[in-house]
Amino acid sequence: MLRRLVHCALCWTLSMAGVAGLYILAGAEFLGLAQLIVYVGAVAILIVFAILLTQRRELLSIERLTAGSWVTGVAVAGLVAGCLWIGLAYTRGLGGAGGASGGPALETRELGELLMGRYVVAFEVAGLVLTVALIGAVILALPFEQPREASGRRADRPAAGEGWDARRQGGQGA
Amino acid sequence: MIDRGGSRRDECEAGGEDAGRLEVSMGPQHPSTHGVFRMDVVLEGETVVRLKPVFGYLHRNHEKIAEQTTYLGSMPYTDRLDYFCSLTSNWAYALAVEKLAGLAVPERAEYLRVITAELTRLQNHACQMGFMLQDLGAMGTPMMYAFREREKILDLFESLTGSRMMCNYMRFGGCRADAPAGWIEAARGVVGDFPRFLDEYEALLATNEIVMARTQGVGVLPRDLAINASASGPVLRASGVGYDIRKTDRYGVYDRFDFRVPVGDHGDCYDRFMLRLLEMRESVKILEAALEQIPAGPVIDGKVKLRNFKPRAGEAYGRIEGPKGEIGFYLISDGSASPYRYRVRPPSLINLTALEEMCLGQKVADVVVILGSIDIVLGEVDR
Amino acid sequence: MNMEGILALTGWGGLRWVGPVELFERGPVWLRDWAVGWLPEGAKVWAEGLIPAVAVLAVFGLLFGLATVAERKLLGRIQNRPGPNRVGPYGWLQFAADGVKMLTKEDVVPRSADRVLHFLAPIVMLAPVALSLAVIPYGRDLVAADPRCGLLFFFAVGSAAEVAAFMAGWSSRNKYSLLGAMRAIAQMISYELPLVLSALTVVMMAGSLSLVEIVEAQSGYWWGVIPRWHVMTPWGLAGLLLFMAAAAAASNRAPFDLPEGESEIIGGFMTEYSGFKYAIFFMGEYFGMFAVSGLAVTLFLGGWQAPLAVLEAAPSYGWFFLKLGVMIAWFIWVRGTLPRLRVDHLLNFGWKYLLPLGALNLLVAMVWRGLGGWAFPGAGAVRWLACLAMIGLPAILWGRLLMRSRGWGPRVYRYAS
Repeated sequence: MLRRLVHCALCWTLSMAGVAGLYILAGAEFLGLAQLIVYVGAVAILIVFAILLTQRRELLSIERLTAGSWVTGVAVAGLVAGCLWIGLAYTRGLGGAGGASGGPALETRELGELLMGRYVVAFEVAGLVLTVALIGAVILALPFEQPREASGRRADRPAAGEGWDARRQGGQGA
Repeated sequence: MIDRGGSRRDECEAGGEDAGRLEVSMGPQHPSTHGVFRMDVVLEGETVVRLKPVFGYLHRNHEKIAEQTTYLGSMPYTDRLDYFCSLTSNWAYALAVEKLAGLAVPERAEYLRVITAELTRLQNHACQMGFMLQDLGAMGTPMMYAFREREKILDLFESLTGSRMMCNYMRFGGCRADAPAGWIEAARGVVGDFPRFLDEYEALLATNEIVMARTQGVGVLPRDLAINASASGPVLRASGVGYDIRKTDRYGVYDRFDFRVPVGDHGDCYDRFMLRLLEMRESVKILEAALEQIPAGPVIDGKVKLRNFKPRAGEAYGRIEGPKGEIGFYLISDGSASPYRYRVRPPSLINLTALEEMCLGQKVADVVVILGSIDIVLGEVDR
Repeated sequence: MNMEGILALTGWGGLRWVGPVELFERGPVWLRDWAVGWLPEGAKVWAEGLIPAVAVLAVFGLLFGLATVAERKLLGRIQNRPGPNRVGPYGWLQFAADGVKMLTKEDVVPRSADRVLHFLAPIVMLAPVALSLAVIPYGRDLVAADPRCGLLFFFAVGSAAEVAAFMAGWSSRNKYSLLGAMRAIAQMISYELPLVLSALTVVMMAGSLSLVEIVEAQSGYWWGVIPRWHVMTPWGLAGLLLFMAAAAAASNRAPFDLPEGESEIIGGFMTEYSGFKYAIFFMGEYFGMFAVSGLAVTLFLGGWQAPLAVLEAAPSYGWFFLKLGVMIAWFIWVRGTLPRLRVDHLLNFGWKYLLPLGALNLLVAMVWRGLGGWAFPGAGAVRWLACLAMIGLPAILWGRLLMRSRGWGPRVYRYAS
């Protein structure tokens, strides 16, 4: 349906914002807002940046949808919906309308205390893993060692000063 | 946007034909090209990897027109070359014709020429600094300060020549009119106030961190390249060459004044910016001395027949140190009423030729600053 | 209540005598209650949410108009010119003329643009910013919504602006737009971090994410004269400066207005917008400025608290909007003064200067609290100066070092012989 990858990414962003809304309606305010910051503010931007920097143009749009891809899509959507339905049907406590009243309202303060108390090791390890990933990404993104001239000036350009006159005359003749 | 085959849509999406490159056509309708000027820029991210200046949008056949008209008839056209500095263009053209015809200029006229030329330098440099800071994104404030000073100088021009910008003041063998009563005193007042503005400008901008960060080391023009590219004026002096035609040619009465020629060591935008500031201080010194020493007497050689002016056959090149650099006029006469060949050496155009070398490897935001630091007027570039 | 009072409706049906102080202070709330009271039971819930929303949008809409005129007049003053002075008394109705102009202008959409995204981008830009105005407490009881994580809400909805900038830049199919969008996204992502970090210091000291509680934590006076605003502490002062620097960048204001840097990339991601869509972008930008200014007032300048006990008679929202006006004037002043940074300088400034100082400021706040136990004479002054030195000296030295490492500095010129 959506042929352009950018549209798909933006729709994905919209659905993530919708999930955040569901979290907030369910009373998990902190989780919902964190979802918004992380997915809409960061991951979505990451994805569109990746799309922008993709250099192979044919990857950016889906040329045509075959019957097979339609079938696959519908099947996957149905499977997900079925799993969700089964999961929800067998979960107690969420059957009623208005999740906010039924669910346990967890204060942000308590959440923080749990993360920094009981689950501090897991929390810190996760932080460490992310830091390592960040450093790795920086190392990957660093430019290869190159002579200075190559980075800024064109290689076929004569060095400053010398060759200027010859080049100008050549240019005028051409 | 230039469309070079292929769909524009896809080019934007994938970053152009070349991997990750973006070809942007800055101008001819761009707020910072100082007129109708275009730069075809190829960017890698925001870094400039290629730049092609494209000009000629304002070409109006100045030189050919001058070859069809009389010598005096070209004088008003020289106003339109560099519309910021009409008086220096006037002088350079008058100097070339005077060399061609072997005319002498009365002393008072020489002084008036020096005074008007240095006033022109003051207002041009002040506005150039304002424009360059505008290109840096300074929201017009420095420019409006510069315009405040320029207004006072333009008022002087108006009372002296009858026009604020298109002065048409110089004549072969002198100046068109003498200064009206009280003009010298008024000029003294303007010149006396000017250092206050310079101090203010220097205090506010010369050590501003953002200005330093944006201009130091940006747009470097190396010394040998500047010489080979035939650059002149503040652009050349910023690259470390202490070449000033007022000193080397000693035309007019410049040998009677005591002034120094500031020289930069880095050749970057900051040097070009600061040199103009220092040059204005020297100009103020010249002006003060000239307004003090100006003798009485005629302002034009009455024997010159301006209406039916026919110099003897020959050729001459007259040049002066204009605010933007060496402004010169090359004339060949065949003895008739109009020149056989008329050629302008426009400093803006020739300083502009090294633009690509200055811009390569810089960011796209620097391109407009570098262009601003060269100080061009498109009327002169395109002629 | 008192004899000189005024007969006022206090809420639905409650008619009693109140003093002028109370009338102005509680008036807006009574007005809301009175209006809600007319409605049927089912609509009351909706109205209680809707009325403050409409009120906030109306007030800030008007403020937007006035701020554009104020900006132009102030810039004019800075630049030796009068600014707009034709429409209405002293030109203050200029915004109405501008609005009519914007509405009647042709709405140009480039032929190759992605029409849907091009249309949606201004809306996506304005809506989250308007949402973030909901959690700021404007007066003692004047807050549209007070969620437990008010501050988090502010930053969470603000992050949608990046998506809007991308949508605008990408859908316009203009290279300047694309460059502007890239710059906008890079800038917003980089400066969210120092912004949040300096706000976090306040959260740590106030012990709450709720903006209402943060304001209440700043009530009271030292020795009866100096208000206990956070800005009166060294970490609060440094925090405010860091916050304002980051806020200027996050709301694309000068000297960080690179995404639209008109002397470089024309109008950035707004290049291909005209007419009312452009006005909406403009409005979003101003609302963003109001929102971060309001947040700065809330976090550091005591929100709606009066600066002196005797001045508490004035309505609290008056104090808030006065402080907001000061912050907006500060933004305008900076815009009229400073040139623009370059994109790499901008990122360096954010990551290498603001972020470390923000982290250090967090530490200084901890030390400030730790030193609170000192009881010898003059302990307060020593504590104040010690904490100020802890953040001030590194700020100056680190800045100098960064400048020097690039070789930037004043120069001396020689003269040709």
